[in-house]
Amino acid sequence: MGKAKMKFLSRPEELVLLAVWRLKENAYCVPIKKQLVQSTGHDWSFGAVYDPLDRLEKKGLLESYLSDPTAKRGGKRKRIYKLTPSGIMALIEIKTITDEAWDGVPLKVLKEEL
Amino acid sequence: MTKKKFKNPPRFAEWILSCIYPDRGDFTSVGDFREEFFEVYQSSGPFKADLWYWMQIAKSIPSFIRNKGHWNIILFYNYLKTAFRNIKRHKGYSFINITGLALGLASCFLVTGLIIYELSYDNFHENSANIYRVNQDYTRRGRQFYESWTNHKLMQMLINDYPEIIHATRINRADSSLVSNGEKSFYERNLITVDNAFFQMFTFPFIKGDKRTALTEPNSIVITEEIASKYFPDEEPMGKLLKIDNEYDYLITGVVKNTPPNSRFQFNMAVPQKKAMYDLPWSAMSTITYIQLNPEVTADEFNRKIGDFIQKQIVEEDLQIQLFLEPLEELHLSRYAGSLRHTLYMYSLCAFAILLVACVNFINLSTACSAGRAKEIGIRKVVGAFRNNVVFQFLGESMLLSFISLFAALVLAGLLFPVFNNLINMNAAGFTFLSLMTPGVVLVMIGVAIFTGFAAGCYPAIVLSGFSPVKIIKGHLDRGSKGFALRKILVVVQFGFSIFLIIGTVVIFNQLSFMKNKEIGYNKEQIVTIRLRKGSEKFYPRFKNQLLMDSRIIKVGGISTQLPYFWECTDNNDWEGKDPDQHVVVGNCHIDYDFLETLGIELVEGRNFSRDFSTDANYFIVNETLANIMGISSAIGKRLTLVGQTGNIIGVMKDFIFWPLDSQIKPLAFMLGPDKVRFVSIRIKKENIASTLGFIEKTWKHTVPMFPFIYSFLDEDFNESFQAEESLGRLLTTFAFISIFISCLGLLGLASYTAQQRTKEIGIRKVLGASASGIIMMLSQEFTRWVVIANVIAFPVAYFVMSRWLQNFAYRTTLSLWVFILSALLALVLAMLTVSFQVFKAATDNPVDFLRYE
Repeated sequence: MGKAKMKFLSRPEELVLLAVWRLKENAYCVPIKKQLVQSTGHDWSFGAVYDPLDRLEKKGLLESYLSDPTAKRGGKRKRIYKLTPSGIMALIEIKTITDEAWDGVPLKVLKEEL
Repeated sequence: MTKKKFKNPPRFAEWILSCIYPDRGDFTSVGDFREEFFEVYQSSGPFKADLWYWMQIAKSIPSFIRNKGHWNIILFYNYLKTAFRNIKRHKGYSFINITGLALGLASCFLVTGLIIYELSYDNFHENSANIYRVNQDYTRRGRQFYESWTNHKLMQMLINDYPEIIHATRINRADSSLVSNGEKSFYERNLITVDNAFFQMFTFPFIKGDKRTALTEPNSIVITEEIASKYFPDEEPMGKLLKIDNEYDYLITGVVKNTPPNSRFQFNMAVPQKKAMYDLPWSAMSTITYIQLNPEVTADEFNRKIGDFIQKQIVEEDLQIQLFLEPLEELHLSRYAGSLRHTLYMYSLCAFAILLVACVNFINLSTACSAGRAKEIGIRKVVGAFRNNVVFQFLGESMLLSFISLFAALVLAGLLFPVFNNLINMNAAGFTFLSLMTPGVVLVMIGVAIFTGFAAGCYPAIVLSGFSPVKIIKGHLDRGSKGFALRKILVVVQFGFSIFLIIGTVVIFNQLSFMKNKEIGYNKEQIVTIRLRKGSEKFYPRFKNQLLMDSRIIKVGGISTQLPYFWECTDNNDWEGKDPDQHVVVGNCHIDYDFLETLGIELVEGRNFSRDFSTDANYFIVNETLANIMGISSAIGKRLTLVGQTGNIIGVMKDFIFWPLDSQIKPLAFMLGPDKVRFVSIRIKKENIASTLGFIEKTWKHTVPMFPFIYSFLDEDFNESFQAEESLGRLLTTFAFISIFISCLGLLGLASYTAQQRTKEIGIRKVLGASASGIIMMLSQEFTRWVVIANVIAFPVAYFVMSRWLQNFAYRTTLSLWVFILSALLALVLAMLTVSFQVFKAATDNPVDFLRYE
């Protein structure tokens, strides 16, 4: 039912969505980027982060608001992202699908086949 | 972590970033970058931090282009759609705009093509950049001349003294020669005599023969393909003989390709210079000298060396000659003797002015229609368009129109090309419409189209983009009144220009008909002129006698020079009591006993040459001007010395014009010389001219065998000398027509717009009792006023310019008032006719239709 209707997110979108959830109140570009670098080990450019953020916002999975300006940022505001209810739904669905899909595939067995 | 001092990222990089992400609300991205930049700075130092920043920006650019481009295409598509809808909705205005611009661009296109063609003269030679003509600055008796002719001996002396000269040649053109190969014989006009180096300097490719040695032998000749196939259709021409003027045999040593039309060296045969002509005094200028310099030597350097080269050797008194070089590529549009240059300036000026007139239409109509688009602009602004976007949109629209017009102009130019070619009187073989389409011309035209689009769209774009969206949407905009003053001024300028052109045209044609119909002092009607070519002059007496036996021939006379020009003149003259310091140039030529009577030149004093006095061979007949200069009450019996002949003056002729365009009548003296006659003038009866000509031809064939019969009418020859003025007149007429047409188109657009704007006002006026004629008066008044103001501005300018132009002529019409009144009336009537339909419609429509509440 609901499962079948879900739009697939790209892998970066999925990771960004997850990062936003993890960071909660502090979810703006810089920490999101750091989170992604940490979890994937790849170097992410800002563009590569802005892009999925924009797309997720357009899809209605994220919403954003501006914080107060800080001196550290040269007087510029932060754009802070927040998950919308459908964003949370999406995370739940991803988690469910992934878990179901991976069910019964032990990592140990995979590594042995190498 | 040590706390380092604060550092900002590179400014320029940050600026780029803010350009890339201007729409991420309040530049959060710039903040994001700063934050991370600062961290990198703290951990790795300033250099790495800067590098990191730049790298980040470089990485962002591809996705930026992808996103931005995508949105721009969507927006562009929208602009395009709006533009086309707009063109469709206002079919009338668009038609006016496109027609006007297309006419203007077509004029520009043709004129540009012409100019580029003229500029291409003689730059196809491999060495053209290093070839120069040796000119003379020639001062004699205090008068200075620019002279492209030089002495025959100059070339060899220059070669001897200056090693910088790689090649040099002299060029002379034989008048016209009878060339024959056995039975085949024709007159050829393009025989040149040159030096052997000619074909090494100039690139005229050889099909047969060797360009280095072709003209080393004195009796060798190089011919073009054209001549080869004319005289030797099925034979090998090399090594064959051609006879010239029934006298000399020339051996063909080379065949070259036909000369391209854009070369000043038009020839079909070339023979070597004769050595015999070498030693003439320096004052004699008998040939044109070209040199090719070593590429390392500049013309300026060489000019300094040769400046006084001749001066050192001159033995004649009172003669100064300065040599200077003129580059080959500039000769065709020479700045020293170039009426062509001025003509081209005139053409480009007119074409440009017409383009401006067309631009004015565009500006007027688009600002007038701006009210109609105010809502669109308002909405665009409300949904987020910046002023730039609106400016861009409107500039783009005018570019679109100007490119549509460019396309129309190309078609138009193609259609009008034959007319244009006829108009400028340049039926050169290589000047075709396709030859106009060179990349250079196309590039220039695209440039002109962009410029036009920009010039025409600039003002509307700025005005329209300046509308405040709030006012527009609330409906507070004073509809269309913006730029009203400017529109008025522009219409006045348009009409002023058109009126100026009309006046110019009328004055020129006035002057032309004045000159053609003026009493010139002799009767030029029904005179047939036949030229006695070299070798045929001995048949003249027999020819004349045979002619006179027929009653259709009234009189036959002969003269040594061509009418209506008297080419020969001399300052070598003296008479009793002449002031030695007086410098007089006297025209002189030989006539036979019957010449004066044939032309109907009257004598005021004395008698004509007569067969009854054998001493007449040394006597003179002078014109009144010369008699007056001599300053004696009666010139009869006075001694005169002219070109070595001394004798008494036996008659004084009434002054007549012997140079149709001259500013004043010059002194002239006739000598008796029936054997020196080169031009026969035959006065025939008015009736049956065709049969008389047939008779003359029969007589000619009979008495002067071997020479083709070529004749002309004196009055036609006379009128031909006004060719330059006539073509200027034709050109101005055309431009005046186009200009007034475009102006009227613009007026039509404005009139219909005004009528539409004022429908409610007119309706109310009519309801309150205004009559249709009253409304017509009211509406017409405005347009009339503009045209009247235009007249007031154009009159003094036209008066000034045209009276300057008339100064060129000795006999000129006056700039009479009627010319101005006529032009003013013409412009006014055309303007009234143009607006009348709109005005009439507005005045007679039923007011109910407009006043009803929608």
